[in-house]
Amino acid sequence: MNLAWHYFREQRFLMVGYTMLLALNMLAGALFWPEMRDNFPEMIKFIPFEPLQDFVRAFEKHGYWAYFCVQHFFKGAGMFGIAAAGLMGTGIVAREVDRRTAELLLSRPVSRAHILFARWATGALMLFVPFIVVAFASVPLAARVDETINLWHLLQGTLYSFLFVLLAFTATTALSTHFSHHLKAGMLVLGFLLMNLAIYMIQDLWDYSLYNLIDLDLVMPIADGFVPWYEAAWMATLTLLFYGLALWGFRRRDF
Amino acid sequence: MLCATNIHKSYAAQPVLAGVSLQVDKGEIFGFVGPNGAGKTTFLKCLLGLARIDSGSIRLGEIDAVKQPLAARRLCAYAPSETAMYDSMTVRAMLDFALAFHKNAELDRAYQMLDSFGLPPKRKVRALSHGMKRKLLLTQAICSGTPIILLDEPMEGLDPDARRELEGILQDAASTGKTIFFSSHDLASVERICNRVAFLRNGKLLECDTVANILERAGHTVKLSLREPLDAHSLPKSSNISWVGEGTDWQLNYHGKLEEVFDALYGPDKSTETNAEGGA
Repeated sequence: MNLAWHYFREQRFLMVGYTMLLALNMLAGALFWPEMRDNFPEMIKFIPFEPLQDFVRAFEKHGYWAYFCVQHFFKGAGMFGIAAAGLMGTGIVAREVDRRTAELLLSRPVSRAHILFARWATGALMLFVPFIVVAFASVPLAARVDETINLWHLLQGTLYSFLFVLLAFTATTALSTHFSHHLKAGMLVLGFLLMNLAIYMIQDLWDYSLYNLIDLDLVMPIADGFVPWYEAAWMATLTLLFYGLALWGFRRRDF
Repeated sequence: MLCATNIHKSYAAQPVLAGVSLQVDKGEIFGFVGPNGAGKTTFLKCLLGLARIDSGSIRLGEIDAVKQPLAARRLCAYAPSETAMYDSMTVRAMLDFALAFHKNAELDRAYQMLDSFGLPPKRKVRALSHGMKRKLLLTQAICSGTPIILLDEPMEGLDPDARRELEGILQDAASTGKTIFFSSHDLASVERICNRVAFLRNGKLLECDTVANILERAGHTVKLSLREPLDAHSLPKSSNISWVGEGTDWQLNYHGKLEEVFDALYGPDKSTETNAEGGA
């Protein structure tokens, strides 16, 4: 508990920032929706990238749920969530080494496995709680613009897209156990994901982007009862694999 | 209480510890002395399992510290040489955090020590001076309630008064049966409080004995101001002495006791004006 509380205390401002970004994104998105709803053809003309034009076509065809999926699952998880995961993940080990507090922490009578789990689980919760709170807070927000969101679909979509954030967080954690400079580990993960986002914007390459995992094609059909179990299983497996790597690296490392 | 046997440790094929063996008894204050880069901190890290040894064995009490590092750490408190801590915490919160992991931590005593060291409990760690941070680290180690206390350069950054105070605290702790193992550059403190001392250089243990025995074996130096100039040929010679200097200013390097050397050279009645600045 001491370790979890300590990590929470260290990352609390990051969590506040992440929550505010998610909330503002949803709020602005919901308030902008009525204008968008009435002007789809004009809006598409101003959008430069084909994938983004596809988003707007999907909004036109499928309504608010598609718009919500892009706002919260693609932007919220894929950008704000990933950025917060990258910054939080690096704090697990690399930042301790960077600011030379690792010796003090690791000399306590507590196992490295315990330290890693306490910090990782706390970080995961700090990423998840704002994500699901903002998701459910958007239900009354949708009502204000005369739209509805199915709660069960919302929960499924939120859990699924959070897996993407968790995967990035765990990958950063694994890197963090090998690095001595937290910014290097964070930059590596964020750089990799930015590259994937860039690939997603190129029509010939977008099939190779990790962002396909939280693409509209996967999350929108949740409303029709099609949960992407296969992709969810892959992300969960990769998360476990990265956690194993993190544990292995942390246990073997000399401090 | 602490037994290290033939410890080898290297970083990137560079040997840092080369066959270090030593034993520290319960209630002993043991000094670990050596120049920078000798391997003192690495040795301490190996004891705590922060660094894995290449070969050898470490026992803390009845526990094999290599196979059971967690159990070994339950017996140890540690104050690293690095004074980096969690800057955003207050002194009190930092102390509470560090001691929360130790079942038998002496919290009341720790708060008293903060007070006697003059550490304001509500001040942020980032606002502390280097010496104050050192005191905070020492407080958490000394009050952890563990039978073994490992201190890396505990005197570094402390003013003379604080050093004396710490020496007293360590002696009190040892008198209650705690084993204290500390590395230091401060030979004066080592000489004052340690029962035994080990000298480490380039990862090898040069000597390990009581302070008195080591001082006895070590060479001494006395600076002499003579009334009349002498040349090197006219100075007395003996197998356990050597001379450095010229004219009236000479430095006598010798082994054994000074009185015995002078008696052997001049006889008991010979008068020589000395300005002694001896030391090992």
